[in-house]
Amino acid sequence: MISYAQNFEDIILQRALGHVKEGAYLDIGANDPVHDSVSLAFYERGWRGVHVEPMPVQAQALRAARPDETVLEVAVGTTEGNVQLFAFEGTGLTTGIEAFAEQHVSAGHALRELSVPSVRLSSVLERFRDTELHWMKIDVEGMEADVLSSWDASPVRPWVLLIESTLPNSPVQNHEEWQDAVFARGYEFAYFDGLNRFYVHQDHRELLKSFGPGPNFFDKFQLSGNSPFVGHLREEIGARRRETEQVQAQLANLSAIFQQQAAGIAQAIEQAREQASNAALAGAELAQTQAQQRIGALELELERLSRDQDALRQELSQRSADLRDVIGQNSRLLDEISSSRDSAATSLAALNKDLQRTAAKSATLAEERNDALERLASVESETKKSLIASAQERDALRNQLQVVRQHRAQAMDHIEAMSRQMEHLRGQSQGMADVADMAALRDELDQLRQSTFWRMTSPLRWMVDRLRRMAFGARDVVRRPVQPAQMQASEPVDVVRTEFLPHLVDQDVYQKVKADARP
Amino acid sequence: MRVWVDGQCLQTLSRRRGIGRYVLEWLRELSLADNGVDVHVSLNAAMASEAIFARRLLGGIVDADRIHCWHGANQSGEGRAGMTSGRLFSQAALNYHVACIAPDIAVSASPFEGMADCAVPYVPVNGPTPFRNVAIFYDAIPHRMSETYLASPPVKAVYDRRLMGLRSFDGLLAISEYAEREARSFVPQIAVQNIMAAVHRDFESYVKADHSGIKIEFDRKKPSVLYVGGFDARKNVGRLIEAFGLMPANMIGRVQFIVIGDMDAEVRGNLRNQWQACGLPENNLFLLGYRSDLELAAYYCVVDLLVQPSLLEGFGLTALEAMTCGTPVIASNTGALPEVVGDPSRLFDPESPQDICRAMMGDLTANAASRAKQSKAAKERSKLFSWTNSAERSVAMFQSLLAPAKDETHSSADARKSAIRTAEELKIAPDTAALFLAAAHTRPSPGGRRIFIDISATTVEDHKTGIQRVVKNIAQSIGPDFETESGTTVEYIFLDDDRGFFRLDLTGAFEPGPVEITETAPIIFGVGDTIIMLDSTWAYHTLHYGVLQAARMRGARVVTVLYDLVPLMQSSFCDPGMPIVFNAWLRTALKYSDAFMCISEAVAKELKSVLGSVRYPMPKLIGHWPLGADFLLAKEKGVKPVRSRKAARPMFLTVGTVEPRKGHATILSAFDRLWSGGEDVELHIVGKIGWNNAHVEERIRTHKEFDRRLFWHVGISDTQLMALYRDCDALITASFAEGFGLPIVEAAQFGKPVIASDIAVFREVSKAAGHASFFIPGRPDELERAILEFLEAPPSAADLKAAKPQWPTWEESAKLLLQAVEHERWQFSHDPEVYDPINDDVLVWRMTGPVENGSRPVADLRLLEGPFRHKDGQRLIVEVCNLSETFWSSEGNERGVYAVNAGIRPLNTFGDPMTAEFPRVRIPLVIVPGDKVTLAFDIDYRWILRGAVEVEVFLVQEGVAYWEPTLRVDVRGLAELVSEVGGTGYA
Repeated sequence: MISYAQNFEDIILQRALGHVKEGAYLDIGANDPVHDSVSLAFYERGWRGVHVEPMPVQAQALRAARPDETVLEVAVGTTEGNVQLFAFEGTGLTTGIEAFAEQHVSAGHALRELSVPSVRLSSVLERFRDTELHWMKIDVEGMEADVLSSWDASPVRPWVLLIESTLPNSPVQNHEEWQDAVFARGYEFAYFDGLNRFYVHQDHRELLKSFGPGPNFFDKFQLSGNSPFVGHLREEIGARRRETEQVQAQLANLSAIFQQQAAGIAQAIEQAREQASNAALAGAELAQTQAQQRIGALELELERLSRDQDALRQELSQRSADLRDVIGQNSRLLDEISSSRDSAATSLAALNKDLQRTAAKSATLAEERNDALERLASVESETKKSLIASAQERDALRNQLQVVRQHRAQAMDHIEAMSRQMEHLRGQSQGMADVADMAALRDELDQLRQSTFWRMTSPLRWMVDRLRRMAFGARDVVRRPVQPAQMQASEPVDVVRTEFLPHLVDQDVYQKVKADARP
Repeated sequence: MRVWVDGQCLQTLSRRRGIGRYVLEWLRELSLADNGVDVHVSLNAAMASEAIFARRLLGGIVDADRIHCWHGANQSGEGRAGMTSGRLFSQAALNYHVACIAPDIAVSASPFEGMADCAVPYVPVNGPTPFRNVAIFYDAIPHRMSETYLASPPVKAVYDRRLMGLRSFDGLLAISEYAEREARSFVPQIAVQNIMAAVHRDFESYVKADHSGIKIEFDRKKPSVLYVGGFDARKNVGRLIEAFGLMPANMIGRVQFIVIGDMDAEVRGNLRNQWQACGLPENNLFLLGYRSDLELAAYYCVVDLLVQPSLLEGFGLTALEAMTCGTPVIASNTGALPEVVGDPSRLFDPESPQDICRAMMGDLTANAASRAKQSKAAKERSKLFSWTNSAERSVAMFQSLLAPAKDETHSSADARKSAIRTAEELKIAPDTAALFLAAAHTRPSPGGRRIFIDISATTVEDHKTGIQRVVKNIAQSIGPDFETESGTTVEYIFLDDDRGFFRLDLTGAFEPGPVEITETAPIIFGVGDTIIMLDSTWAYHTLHYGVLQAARMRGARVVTVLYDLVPLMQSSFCDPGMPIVFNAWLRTALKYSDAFMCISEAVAKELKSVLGSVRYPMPKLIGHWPLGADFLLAKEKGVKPVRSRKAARPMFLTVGTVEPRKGHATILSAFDRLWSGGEDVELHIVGKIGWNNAHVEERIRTHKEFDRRLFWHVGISDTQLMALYRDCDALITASFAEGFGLPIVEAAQFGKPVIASDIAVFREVSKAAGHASFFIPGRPDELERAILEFLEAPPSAADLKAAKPQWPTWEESAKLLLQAVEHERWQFSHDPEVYDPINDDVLVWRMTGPVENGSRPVADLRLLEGPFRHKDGQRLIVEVCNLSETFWSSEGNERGVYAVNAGIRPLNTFGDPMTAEFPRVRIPLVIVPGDKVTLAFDIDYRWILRGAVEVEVFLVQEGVAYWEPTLRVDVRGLAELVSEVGGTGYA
């Protein structure tokens, strides 16, 4: 057999369970389908099982490699709902990109947090309620106790348990934390391989005799190429490959010299480009920050205006309420008049006075109300004006941004020009461009013109323009004066015309509207 | 009653969502019902491709001359850029546009457009108008769930502003009672009318259609629950899955969940994970993705239950669709769903998985009788909802608004003044404002039908090319003032700058002297106009784009004449710049053309195949018509024989410029074999030396049979050519690629047999010939076999006479062209599954995944010619055939991965590559499955210097694989050529 597991776990399990045909396993913390896989050796012998792997990249790899097995992209444990995990950004792509990711790790920002559902071990074991489960592996980086706690009352008992019993990346054992839970479910300790502890259930005590010696000659196994135990061999093969490559590199040294020269120029240009773009970017950012600050200030102003408006509205409603009160008082007074006619004579004069006063007051209040209404209207129109003003201001700021962008574009143009120069240099170094080429090109053009096929398909515009002025004498176009519909140069930034606009416009209508529009 | 409707929601992304579908169905009923309503729709020309798309959508619904255009001035979405000057001014321009149309009712069909795009939905900004203003109100879901939809404060501000903007309308049409309640809560002062919604008018027919051809992917004997719709959080599918997990164990094992709706890999993964995490069996989940309406109807009909668990819906179309099929429905007790479903006992609390589970179990465990009752009730209730009903309610609302006559006297002139004032306030230059307002001004369509033919390039300068010969012949056959039988006028037009097309006085158009244009304003095209782009337009296509798209927006059609696709398919035979120019032209022409008229069936089929293979996202009509041939009209009498002596030996003729594409090398090699085999035959070559063919010229001139049995006639007259046709025994034509085959037509007119290379267009044109045989292009042995067979059993004179061909004259050809265009006689069409005006050419030509073909090879490479001398180098011409099932192009993803390129590299004596890098040769456009293109490869002299023994030509899919098998060519013979000149190139 070929062993893929990290520490020969598959060999030991194979020794105990090799007699089972098409058995089943549960691999919690399955990780990669090949690399360090405990299950692959069994899979190759027709076993099928269930993998639990919360990392999306590894789970995807498992699904792809083991299409006929079940892959649960979950974490196992006692947590309710979801658990938070960390994954390396960008892993699981090509090897080249993995190396890239490592750089990011050293820069300290390659970790990605992800949230996956957590399920209890009992619910996973439930899948084996009606079948035999021959082995179960738990390798969850120190969370073994939590996994085992979620076994609950499930009656399912794997024949063999394989649990990582050392702290991650260290030989220190940690099985005291959880071993009692294993014993409580009827398991007996069978073997410790330096990394993992093996347990056998009491119903299958006959398997205990298979444990004892470490992996040895009689297990008749070979190691897969990925095993750390053949690292030296891998290096050896790599060295041979590198030697071959060196030989090939020497063979290609002519082109390498050219490439070196080109690379030198490219580097110089890269530096220049970096400097130029840094400068341009810094300018752009500054302008943008200023623009944002000013937009922020404008928004504050708008907010203040709307607050004022609210206050006015409140005042208005207060005044209206006052008016209602006064009218109420008025009617109460009238009631009193009717109910006490005998005292009327004496108090009539006073009452009349009161009435006059109230009427005057209500007139004043109505006036105040009108006043408030007017102020409200003026605030509304101011709001509209400031909306327009802010639109304009924003346009102006965009204009500034546009200028900055133009600067940046100029910088880019400059870079481009330098690139072209580089191309030119490279061309020269390859002995490509010389005067004779020009003559050859001209000859080719002449030939080209003679080809009827080219004529069928190729009156290129640049050709037409050039030839017009030369021997072929294109015809002139004579027109009556045509007034093209044009836009002015400086406009608010968000006023944009497309190439379709002039073709939708009737000249007569345009002239008429233009006459209207001109002050 | 004239009703104007803002059509921008048919242009923006809404066109693919519920709103676009709603407006289209509503418009159909409003416009087509006998209700006295005269519907006008306007589109925003700032979104041109989308405007043309929307015009197509409205075909058969709104009359072409009632679809108008105006042009928005802003570029950005309001959610992104806020209320900019451009947007404020656009609102004013649209108000003027509507005032010009002078409707009784103006409808803002989707008042929340333009958050992320440049749409400017109609809102009255000038106070009272002489007409009434109405908006359709769908829902206020973004406001009610603002944390989800309006998380960004600027977007929320815009949304609220729009919501408050509804106050400017006289009335609102709500799509449900729920929407009606919502509208009242925001704008209590405005009249609101619930007009309801309905299923698509064809839905009924999908339900009744034969479903036997549709595969149902789940087990119909077990209980089934269907969900149809989207998957954002509001749709609440997660709680529905939780509810499945709460079912009793005996049900969990059996109940199947069928999910239909657009879903990407991420959505699929999430649903599957959720399903598994709830302990549900994987094989009971059916994630079907998108299904057509017909398939959807079939699924509705066979499932036991449809669940609509959404947290909030403005209507709830899927529930209604299922009910129309008689499928029991349960739904959330929120939004508009209760009024669609009706029976309160069929509602549940969408926030509670327990309650969803209760409702599902109630249905799934019901007996047959109660199910039948339920199905009948659902069907009965669905009849309450119909578009007829919706349109009637809308018209009633319009009438009630019109009843109290108002007495404002605002006119379109007032709207214009107000727009000009707005422009002044915004500091927009008067001329600019005038330009936009003139575009917003509506005018009647020209009336009648007109055909315009572009002949600009030939008018400016006659290069005597093949295309220009066609242009001149057509223009001379159909003079000015020509009218077709049905009264369509024909005019010739000219364009050489961005001002647009001008009429051309045809008398003297092709004579020397200046071209005179007397018109001072360009032609404005409209409904009833067809523009035929007859001339070669490579130089002007960027100018054409603006003017032709504008013409199409106004209702005109554009037909482009396509002569061939040779520069893209056989780029090795062209000047290196040509494929690039032609490619750019074709992409633009595809955007601005409604139809392509090709000069042969072969070209038409090739275009159809390219468009189909890249899934070009816009429909195109494709036709073909025969070119004319007047050769025989000239008198052939009195022409002296070309040969001085009457030789008894068989005489073969080939006619065409001596250039690589014509395959002269193949013909020469075939005759070398014949002569060395003792055959006494004679070959006459007619044609001048063409582009880049020095090696063939040299081969003819130095041939030992030259001027003995091998003759080359350069610069002969038509009369002499006729004599050759008359005296020869057969015509040989060996081209690798052609758009047409004029020599075959000419030979046929002389009753001569033809031996032609086996390409589609020669097969097609040879149908006119009395006798034709074919050989594989580029294969001298095959041509030799064809000639020997011909010599052994020549066709009888009777056969040849019987097949006297009837080929159209130029006048007939021109009339056929006009008839085909006028009466829409198109032989083919390209009808994409997905019609998308935005993605027109950005994505479709790119390769997006690895090419696979099982264990079979994906490509076949064949050496056609070479190595031969080309400029200072040595060149190979290789034919590449695509054996896979996807198209190939040299455009990959953004990092260049998946692009297919060809490459060439040197091999040493051990057959190992000598360089790591190699020059790449791009595919000019695409290679469609089963098709062949030819590519040229140059052999670097430095490889020869370093001792290369062979060169290897191969295909590579970047970042994926080098493809086997490769093509190896022995180059040891080139070593002498290089060493002589000491390493600076080939001798």
